[in-house]
Amino acid sequence: MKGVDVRTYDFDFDLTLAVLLMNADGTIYHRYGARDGTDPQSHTSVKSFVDVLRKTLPAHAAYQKNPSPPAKREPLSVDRMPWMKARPKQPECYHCHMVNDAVTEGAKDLGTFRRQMAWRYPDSSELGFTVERDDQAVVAAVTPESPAATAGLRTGDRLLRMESRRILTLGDVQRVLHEASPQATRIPLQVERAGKSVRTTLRAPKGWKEPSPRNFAWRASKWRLSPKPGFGGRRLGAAQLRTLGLDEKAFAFRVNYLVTWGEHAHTGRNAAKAGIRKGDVILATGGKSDFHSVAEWHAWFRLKLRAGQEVAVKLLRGRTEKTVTLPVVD
Amino acid sequence: MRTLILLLLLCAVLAAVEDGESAGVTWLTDLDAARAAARETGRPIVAVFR
Repeated sequence: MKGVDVRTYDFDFDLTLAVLLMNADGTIYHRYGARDGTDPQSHTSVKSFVDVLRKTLPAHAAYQKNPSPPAKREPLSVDRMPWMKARPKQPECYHCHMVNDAVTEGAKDLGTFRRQMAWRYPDSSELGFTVERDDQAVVAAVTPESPAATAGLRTGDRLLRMESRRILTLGDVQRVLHEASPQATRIPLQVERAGKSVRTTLRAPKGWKEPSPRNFAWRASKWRLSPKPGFGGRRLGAAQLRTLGLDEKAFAFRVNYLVTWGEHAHTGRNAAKAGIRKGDVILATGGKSDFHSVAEWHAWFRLKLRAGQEVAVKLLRGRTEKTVTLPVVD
Repeated sequence: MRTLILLLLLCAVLAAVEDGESAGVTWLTDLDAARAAARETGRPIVAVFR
């Protein structure tokens, strides 16, 4: 990303694959490469990529007849951002997610950071609907009693527009949600159902942008958010769980590091002082054990806990079960 | 592995595009060059970040 103008090539920088279909003047027609909280390739397929390439061609031809270029802005690349420039050592390779790191840490330095800045590119499931993988304008499922259900959205509906933006991909949907207010807000929606155009409105409640831990777990940008547990590890497999006499479908992980280095070493010291050791098997935190991954546990800790609280950590040391009280620190 | 999958994906897409009416994809690794070429030819850009 060195030298790449992130104001022009503006995408979800946590993604491992992002495609912008665009005009030479900087207008972005569509975005491809988005994912949900389940799998990095949940919404990538040859069929869907070819589909968006083909459908962009007529959109491009129409735009060329009546162009409306975006306003010119001073280019900004990640290597020119103040926080990155101030680092003692510059990376050999500037990864996409470093854009988010530089924005977040730069805002912290200026005292302008707000947690909602981390709620980037919300997944449609936060408002209660998902889209198909191969034809991403088509609604795959609607969660009962969600904002999508209240808006009357149905499985099989084809999304035409959200706000004024033409929708072809999950990336297009997430971009509209990214630009929407984190407060209670209304998002106009136009869908095609049984050959007819139907207009409705998604009513997003206050705080809707804060992601579920599962949707936040995959993001590299989650590591910048506090509070931090100060330790982590590797999830135990079925055989390891059986050996310990645990349900083989249970979630548990073995602590294989406490953070003893860098600017967050105090979090590891805090965990050690509370009684957490390398080799412990973590069974539950705050009474909760239904995590799908250690990454989701990290996301939950950062999203749901606040500095100043205490959280009970149930663990296994050898064959002995213990519960320690961990003060939550930023 | 992921890189291989991506390469296979891009190869498949290129093949699909070349089979169709939209043949004439130009592959560039420089974004400024891509924008200049697109401006000159009137073609759209597919910018891939990996």
